[in-house]
Amino acid sequence: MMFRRHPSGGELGAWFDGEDTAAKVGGHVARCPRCRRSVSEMARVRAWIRAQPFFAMGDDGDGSTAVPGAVASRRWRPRAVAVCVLLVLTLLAVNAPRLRGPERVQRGGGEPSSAMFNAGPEGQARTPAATEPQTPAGGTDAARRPLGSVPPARFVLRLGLVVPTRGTGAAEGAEVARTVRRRVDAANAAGGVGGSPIELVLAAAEDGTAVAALPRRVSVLVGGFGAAPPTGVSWLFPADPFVGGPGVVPAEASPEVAGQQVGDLLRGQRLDGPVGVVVGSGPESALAAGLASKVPTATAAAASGTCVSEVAALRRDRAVALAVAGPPDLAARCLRAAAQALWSPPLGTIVAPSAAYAGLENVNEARGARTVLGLPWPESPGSGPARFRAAGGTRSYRALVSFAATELAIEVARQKGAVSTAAVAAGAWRSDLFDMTGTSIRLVPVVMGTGGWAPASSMGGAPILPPVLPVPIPGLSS
Amino acid sequence: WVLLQGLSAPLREVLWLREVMDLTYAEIAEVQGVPIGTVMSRLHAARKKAARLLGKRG
Repeated sequence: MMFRRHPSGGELGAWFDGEDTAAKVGGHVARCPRCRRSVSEMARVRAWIRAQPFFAMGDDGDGSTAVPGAVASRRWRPRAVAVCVLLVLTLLAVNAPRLRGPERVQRGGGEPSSAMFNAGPEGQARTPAATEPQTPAGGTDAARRPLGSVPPARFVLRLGLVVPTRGTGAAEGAEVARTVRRRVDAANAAGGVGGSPIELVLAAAEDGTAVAALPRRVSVLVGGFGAAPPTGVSWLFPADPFVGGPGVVPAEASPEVAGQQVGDLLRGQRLDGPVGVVVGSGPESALAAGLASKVPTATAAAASGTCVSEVAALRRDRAVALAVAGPPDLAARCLRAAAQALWSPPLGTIVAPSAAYAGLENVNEARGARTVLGLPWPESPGSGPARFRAAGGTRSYRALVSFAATELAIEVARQKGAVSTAAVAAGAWRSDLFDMTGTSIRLVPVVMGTGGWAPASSMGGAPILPPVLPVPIPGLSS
Repeated sequence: WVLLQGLSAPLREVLWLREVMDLTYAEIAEVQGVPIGTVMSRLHAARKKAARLLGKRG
């Protein structure tokens, strides 16, 4: 049946977006020049938006956030020129008496002589930071700069965020971007960093050009996932457990370190047999080596699709725990195989930290599995996860990791005046989301429960409710 | 994107979610917490206004 009237704007848009697959709209469009013009208009808007290599999502609506690379609106230029002229005339009038004498102000820019900074009316040397709020690093009062001198550069914190915009990761990428943006907005509402607003630059993970351009545009990357680390910029808490390198501050331990930590915890239990380990392929296989360095293990190489034979073999070996040193899908298969065989090893099941990034909490048989994580689960109690949820976060651990990375970057910038792995390594950073000494994050043993991963007192035994976490340090609560 | 600062925040966001993040209407409705009908009308309004702004820019 053909549309006898024009479809509404929403209906036409839905057809354009492939949402309305009914042929009736398409048939009408084919015969209606007016609707074809509307479709062309939508296509032009889409083409322009998708042609932008990267973009900044600033605050909500007042247009005050600076956009890197953006062109200022032309209508502001005449007003800006007029304001500048007035300012110059005013400064000339105010400073006229000081233009006499040997210590003449250096005109035309360039560094002033040191005497200039001592020539304030109060006779005191002051450094130019008048509008910056007091910070723990020591904010100071402004100097009245001599006319013509170059004002010092203000540090502007620009955060880069890489998220997928296509495919299965897009919805989670949207949550990551939303929570990071709201955290930046909140920090800007509280004055930004050093009086300058924080800028957020997003790049689509599938756009290699945009990702490669980020090091030139941002101070640091925070959270995010879906792309390899670009060279030349530090990356705090990539929301991908396998992103590493010298410029990366990870939110999780490597699988080998995780295995060592889990092994240490198991050593506190009574071990009447080996820890059984199904060893798969990929980076998670290093979990086996970490465990083996601490506790006796029996291994079975992952071979069959269902993991049934591997689990059976470890059960015959009288393993006291079942660890899966492999990717999350292997963990899901092996945990299902153990459940189907009605096998509950006394010290439970163990998986690699990457499971938290892959939705293993949606697998029923994963309940009771344990690992170690650097950050709390999004749905867990505590002020940190609550702040994350208030910023629009729901269940995405990647989004919480990215949110925490944003907070870390802001705090490092406020304290150190710059953000890099070196700046992070030179301090201790503690909040209700993470506890770091330098770039080493404290790992918390967790167990999979009905609400996701909850802190566990040890490996094996029932999970214990998490303790009240420390309150945020001053300056981190905005 | 500074060109689209003339859009209100919900309209700018819906454009971004559709054209950049490639979310379906159902996903956008979930993200924004509104019915799908609202997503449709917001997208229509956002595209209309964006087209006007792009036209002025030339």
